[in-house]
Amino acid sequence: MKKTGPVEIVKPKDLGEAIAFVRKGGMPLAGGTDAFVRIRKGFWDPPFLVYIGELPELREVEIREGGAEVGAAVTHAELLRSEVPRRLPIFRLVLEKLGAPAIREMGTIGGNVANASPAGDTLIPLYLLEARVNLVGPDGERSLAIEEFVLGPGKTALREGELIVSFWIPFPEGDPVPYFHKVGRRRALYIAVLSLGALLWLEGDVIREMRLALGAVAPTVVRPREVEAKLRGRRLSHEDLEPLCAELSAATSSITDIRGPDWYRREAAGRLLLGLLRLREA
Amino acid sequence: MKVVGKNVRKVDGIALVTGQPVFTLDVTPPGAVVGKILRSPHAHAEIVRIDTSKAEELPGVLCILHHGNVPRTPYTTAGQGWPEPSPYDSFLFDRKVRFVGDRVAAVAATSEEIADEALRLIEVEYRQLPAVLVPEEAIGPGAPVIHDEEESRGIHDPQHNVAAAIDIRVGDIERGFTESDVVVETTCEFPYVQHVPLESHCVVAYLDEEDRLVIRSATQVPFHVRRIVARALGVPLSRIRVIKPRIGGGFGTKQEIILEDVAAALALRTRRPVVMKYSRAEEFVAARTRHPMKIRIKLGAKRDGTIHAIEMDVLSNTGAYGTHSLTVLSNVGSKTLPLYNKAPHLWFHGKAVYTNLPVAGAYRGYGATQGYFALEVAVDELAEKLGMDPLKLRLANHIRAGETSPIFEKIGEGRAGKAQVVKSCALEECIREGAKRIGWKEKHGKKTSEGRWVHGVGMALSMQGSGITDIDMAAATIVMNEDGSFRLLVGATDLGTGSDTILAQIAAETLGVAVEAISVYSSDTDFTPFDTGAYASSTTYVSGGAVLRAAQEARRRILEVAAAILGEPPESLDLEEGHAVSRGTGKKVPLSEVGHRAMYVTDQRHIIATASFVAPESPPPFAAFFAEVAVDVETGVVRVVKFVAAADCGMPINPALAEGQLEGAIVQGIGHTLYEELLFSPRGRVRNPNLFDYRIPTAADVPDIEVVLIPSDEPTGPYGAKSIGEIGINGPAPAIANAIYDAIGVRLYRIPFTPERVLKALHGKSMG
Amino acid sequence: MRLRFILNGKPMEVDTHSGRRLLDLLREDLGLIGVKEGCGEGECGACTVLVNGKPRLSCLTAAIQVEGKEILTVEGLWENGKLHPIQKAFVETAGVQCGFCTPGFIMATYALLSENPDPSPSEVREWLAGNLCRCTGYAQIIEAVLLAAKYMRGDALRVTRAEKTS
Repeated sequence: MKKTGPVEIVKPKDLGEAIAFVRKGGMPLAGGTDAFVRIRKGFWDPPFLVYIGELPELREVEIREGGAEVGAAVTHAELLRSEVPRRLPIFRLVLEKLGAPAIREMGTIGGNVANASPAGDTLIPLYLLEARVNLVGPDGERSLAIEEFVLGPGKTALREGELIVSFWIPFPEGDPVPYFHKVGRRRALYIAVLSLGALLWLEGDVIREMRLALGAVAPTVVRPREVEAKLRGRRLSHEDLEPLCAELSAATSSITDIRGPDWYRREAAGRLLLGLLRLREA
Repeated sequence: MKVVGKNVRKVDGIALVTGQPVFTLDVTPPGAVVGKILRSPHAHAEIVRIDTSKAEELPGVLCILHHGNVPRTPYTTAGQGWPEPSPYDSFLFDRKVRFVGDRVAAVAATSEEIADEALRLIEVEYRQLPAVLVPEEAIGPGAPVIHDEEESRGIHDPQHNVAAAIDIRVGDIERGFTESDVVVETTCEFPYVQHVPLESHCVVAYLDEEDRLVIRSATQVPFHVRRIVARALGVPLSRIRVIKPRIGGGFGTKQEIILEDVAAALALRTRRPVVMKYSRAEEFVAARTRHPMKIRIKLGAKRDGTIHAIEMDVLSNTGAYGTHSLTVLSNVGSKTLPLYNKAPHLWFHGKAVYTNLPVAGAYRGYGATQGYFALEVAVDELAEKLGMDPLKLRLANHIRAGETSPIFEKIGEGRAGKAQVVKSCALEECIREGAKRIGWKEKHGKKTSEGRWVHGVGMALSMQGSGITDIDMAAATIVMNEDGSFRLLVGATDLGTGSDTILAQIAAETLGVAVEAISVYSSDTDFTPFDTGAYASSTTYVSGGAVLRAAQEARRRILEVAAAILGEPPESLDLEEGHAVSRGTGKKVPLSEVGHRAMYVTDQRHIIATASFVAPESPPPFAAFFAEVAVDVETGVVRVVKFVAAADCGMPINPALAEGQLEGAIVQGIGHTLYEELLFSPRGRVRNPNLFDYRIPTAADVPDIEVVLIPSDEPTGPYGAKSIGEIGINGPAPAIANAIYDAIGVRLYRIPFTPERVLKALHGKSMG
Repeated sequence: MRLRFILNGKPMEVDTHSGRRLLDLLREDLGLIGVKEGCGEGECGACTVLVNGKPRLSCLTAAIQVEGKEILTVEGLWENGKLHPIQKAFVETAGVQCGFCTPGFIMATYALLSENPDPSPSEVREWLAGNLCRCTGYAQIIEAVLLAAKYMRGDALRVTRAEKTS
């Protein structure tokens, strides 16, 4: 076990200097909610940290035509307080259930995505909204779809010396109904045993279009597109949804960890589909 | 009553809300060094070679202790009374390690970083031994012997890894079951769960100006710390002083001597103050846990619902060391069986078994918690088989005031007990009141659904004790100041429970003053009189009894002086509102004048009184618990919607603090029932030694909890009081298990009731 | 590094390491022992302090992250021997048992009531979910927060009235 004391941290003046530090082997530090825990437990021993949490270039939330641009160092709490949840209410559903107030004030959206945890809460809306990750590095800027960026638990397409600058989150057409359900033993402050997020475009109780994202049931968040396609045209009823539970289960792949066995995740993931029925009551 | 029975504010409240330096590590002596422990990576191994030379060369390393350079004296880490009922099977450091996390060596260094680095530089060569992680296997043929050292004493059967065993028979159990019309048999399992005090174990040890060893420790048992450290280190007891400042929660885990011995040894060796603190991971791995148990229970009853025979068969896992192994095992029966005292035929038997897993110890509830889980689930099953309302079955069988149970006499603290008649019991009112508040009549057996959430209700009863009969002794000293105020010196150990406050209330009531006139000091083996410590629900009853006696004696001496001033006989005087008042003439004199005169003026003396109180019996508090749960049949998630506890703790000295004890214990119990369990790798390593993976309840998880105190008057208790610290933790597991059954018709016998266990059980039902 | 920040209303300047935990900086270097370490991993909330008015876990905060910021600890609430209404409420409702988690709860409460002066019981529960208490079962803590909110709204009223009369 190592204390965080000896870890050297530098604070770059601007994005250019940050990239230069990262190129020299520094690892980016934003909120610290994850980095300091891993360092303390001895799971991570970075040569030095580059504190990018206050770089103005990474701190903006901008609503533009067709979407929102959210800086990587925007905290969960700031995102909640911004215009974004008003335009994209799925963010409110997810972020309000993310950690406790202090963690929301500290943790950043960029940090959450960079950790690439299959149970990372903010990934759910980003997958549902088909967000893009804007990166900058020694070779200039590039942009990747979120599904191309996240490769597996703790693994991303981030190249050496690259930083996440922001996320482009396109506004979906129309006014889809958001849905988010997270399963854990304890109610608060938990990492999901599994979770399901959805956007539904409804006509009456008929599903015209829909997107689904499952968390913590595979190495990355999963968009079960075949199930989405089959749901089109179905009614929001037990009879119409029930037959697809098994297919949703099949979209998961094996994860057994301390929070739950594989069979449970598979099975409960399918049944989470029935939770959508709650939207009919509302 | 002017002070007793009132919600007086906690005497230490202001210091705590303002962040004063009141906890062990809030003040560190100048020149303090850091002590750290090297822990075993193996579940069972012999230390073949240990080389500390590289570590010793590291600048800043002052001392390294290991089995090769410390005395080898067997002792127990259990802070219990005398004679010590736990086996002497622990050593300061041993040639063998018995669980992943066992002590190998300790370092004192000038900084935490240097101490950590030194631990890395210690070279240890182990010869791995076969490990046994399952209690059934530990007592099976061919199991490795965990305690094969010859110095240990008091182990029941070391060759078969049995730390302790018990076999108690009343009546004729075989006949009992033959004569029963209905018999149920069930086995319940309680896993490894932990106390999780917010303040982990910590200690500061140093030598004072007289070269005496001073140990400031977060402990529930300062006097036992002194005695056990003296034994372990071979230091005369007179050379040790133990100070207990404010404690950041204990719940039993701080009834153990698990850091004081090492810190003291390092301080003696380095002659520097040594600060030691468990990290949260160490707290999970190397502090103490509740004894995991498997309890098979068999109940026989007559057709009319009279319970006729009870058999309880316990397999308790004590982990690598046998601390509290016998007494926790004993309590599984001694605190549960008397509740249903109508049964003439009883058989209580069991074993506490060593395994190569973390060490179990004292934990609030102390065996009763595990016992009630099994007993109250079985009673629910019995009611079903009899076709009776479980509430009515319990009402028909539970003990009442004026009644006794042979168990009181049969089972004591590691020896025979003492016959006892229950003198106060409001359990029947507790059951009726609790049932009303949960809506038992309207809800039980009539599950309701809200979407995929299915609701059900369940109940459980419990009793505990108040101290340990003929063993727990407390003393208190009351010192009067010349201004009419008092100092109350108690060895009793407030670990957050509010005992300093209720002891002050007892003194204030007796002396006719406000609580503000009493300043309480607890505890310090140099300055406060003896007290066995804060465990076994003893403080209100036993320490309270001592304070009452000391206050009565001080009162007598005050009245003598007042009588001389007022010229009236002491028998005609009362103490009221800071005055001695004549009942006849109404003449009065302020206590400040009494104090001043006694100290400075006439017939001078210091008014000081010390008194002791030994628990003459252990009057049980009683409680009825009711849970309403909602089960998500899609995901298996269980939520407690409402929890009601109606409890009889005699006359509560401070109702708000008594309610706080109940509420806190209930929420711990809910945590164990739904969320908490230490998990192990196949090699015996704890997989979730952190608060991220070992989840305890948060404010958002806690249901609506309704707590109601139903008073009774305990004639042997101070102002009619009994203790209340433990009983609340016994209710949640059985009440919730029974409520889940009421909701979904499936019985669960192993906590925690995780979503996957509930879902699996639902499947089993639909398939079967 | 040379670190400048405002601590409990007073400007501070200290020499420290950029990666020193704010918790250690406060407890060990500056003697503010009201900040407690319960886990060191951001799971218990005992080390909660306010940074620029927002709750933050000092065990997962490096010195460099508070450069130029305002820090408020439990010591900063107790002015001139007068308890802050939140502290008063915690004592009155028995929201304190062992008291080890209490400074963290008080700071989290301070942050809540700054954002939401009139929270519902369920808002209080959700907000405090990052602070663990193993003693109370939370009921008396929740009561304390609701009482504190009442006191503070009352105080605010009095202040307004006083301002009006002056």
